[in-house]
Amino acid sequence: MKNYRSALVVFLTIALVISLATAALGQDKGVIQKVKKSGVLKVGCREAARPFAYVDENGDMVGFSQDMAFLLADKLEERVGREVKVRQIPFAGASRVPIVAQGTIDIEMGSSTHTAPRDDVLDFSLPYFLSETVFMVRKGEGIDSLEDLDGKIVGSMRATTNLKALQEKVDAGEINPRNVVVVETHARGFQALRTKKVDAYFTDTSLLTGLKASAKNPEDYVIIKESIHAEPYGWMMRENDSDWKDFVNNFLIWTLDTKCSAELDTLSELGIMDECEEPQFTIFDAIYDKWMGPDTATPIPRTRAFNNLLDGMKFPDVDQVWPKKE
Amino acid sequence: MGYQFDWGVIVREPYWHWLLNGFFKTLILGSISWGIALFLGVIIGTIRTLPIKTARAIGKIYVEFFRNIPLLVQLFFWYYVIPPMVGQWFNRMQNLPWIMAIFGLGVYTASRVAEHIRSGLNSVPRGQRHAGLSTGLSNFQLYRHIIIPYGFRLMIPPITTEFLTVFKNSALAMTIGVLELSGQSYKIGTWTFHSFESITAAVIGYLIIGLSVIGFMGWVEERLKIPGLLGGE
Repeated sequence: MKNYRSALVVFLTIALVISLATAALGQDKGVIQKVKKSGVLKVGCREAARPFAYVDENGDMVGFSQDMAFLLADKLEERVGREVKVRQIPFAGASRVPIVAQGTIDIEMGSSTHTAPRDDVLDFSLPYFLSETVFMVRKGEGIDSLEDLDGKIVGSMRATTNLKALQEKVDAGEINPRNVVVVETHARGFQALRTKKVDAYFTDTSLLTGLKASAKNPEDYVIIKESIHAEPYGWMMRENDSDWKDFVNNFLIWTLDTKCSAELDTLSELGIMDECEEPQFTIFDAIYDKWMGPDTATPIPRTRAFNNLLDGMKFPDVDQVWPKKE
Repeated sequence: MGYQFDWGVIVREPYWHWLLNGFFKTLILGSISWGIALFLGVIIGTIRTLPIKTARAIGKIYVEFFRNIPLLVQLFFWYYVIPPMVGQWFNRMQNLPWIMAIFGLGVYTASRVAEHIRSGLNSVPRGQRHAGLSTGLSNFQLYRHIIIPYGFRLMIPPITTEFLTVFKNSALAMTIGVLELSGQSYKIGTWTFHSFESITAAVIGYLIIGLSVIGFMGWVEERLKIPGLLGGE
């Protein structure tokens, strides 16, 4: 009897060790291998980063980056040779780094700035957007530039690079506000601007455009395009998964290189038919136009710097070597 | 591969200073709020046991109002809704988050303290009340000399819990822009992307505060023990 029991204990211990070891090994597998096995791509989606990734009125997670995610999964199907489902996982901006580092999601497709400290613990894709930290004020209060902020109250959101940039400018004496107010979400920040708790609210151009568009009276606010900081956006992935990062980068280049009409089936599923009627549009252009074109609620004209950045990223014939088959 | 720990961020400047600053802010925020909570709580708790109907009703309304709304919502209410109604001078005051955090936390905790005080006072044996009244004490004297000293001591253990909770709840002040211990540790997380380390530092900070509170309240309990009651001699 006693022998049986100790044998059982030994057996259970071994089983536990083996299962822990395999779990640990499984952690080290690349995303592409994982997707090949599970058929699921876990994509992180910001809850309120319009127009890049947000939850719309119907509770759907949509946006520029999310459209890209579905297209990415489509290309991934070609690579791994099986159906790939996208599982969208909502998250708050402040937790984005840990959830990617821990592997809770395979790729973060929202609106995250590529910074050196983040790059220490994560990998970034090539930039898909160039945003500048600017500020929004109430119209007709005589604030047209950074100098006009002397003695005013400025605000930004907790745990963002915008707040960091703002704080650094204040510490360096380049902006001399009376007070820096820290808010919890962009919605609260906008509320603070509306109720005159702050005189200027700092964040990315794109997000301010979205906030302004969602206001009851958008014409009451002005975005002052004097930037304190320029930020390239990249999609975030786990550190040191080179195969996956290459795949995502090639995907981005492919969308920049490929004419929209070439991929009509997938794109029409995403509702990008109208944009594709423009003959010169690439896939990237079409998706950009859907979310940030002149006819949308959040028009963000591309700056010259942004266009140059995109042009420089293209390299020829990427579609001939990609996606490579397993 | 995995997450690269860098415990140095806790002790490096300026982060070490931020944490220390946050630690003291949490300490002050919790202590002042606790002062408000104890003061208001004893008053509200007491009037809930008075033999006057209107007083009891007022106490009940206060307690049910503050106890049944999430603290987070209350803080947003105090910080975003009330100040613009009071006036722009108030809305744009420099230390508004700080003031509203202390106030909001204080009045919320008061409602919880009041409930403990009420049950403490109600647990004073009926005979004590009758004995007091029959010796000719007025209602005020009865409460001042018999019921409060008696009932309050009975309630020291649950009051200790509330004292601890006020420090833990003070972390919510971060959501209205007060950079207390949690706020600072999140800030370090944003600046350095080592939030695991900075949050661990915050955990240690809260532990230090919590254990000190328990030690202090243990000492208070020992000092105020009633002979013959709750293990007193």
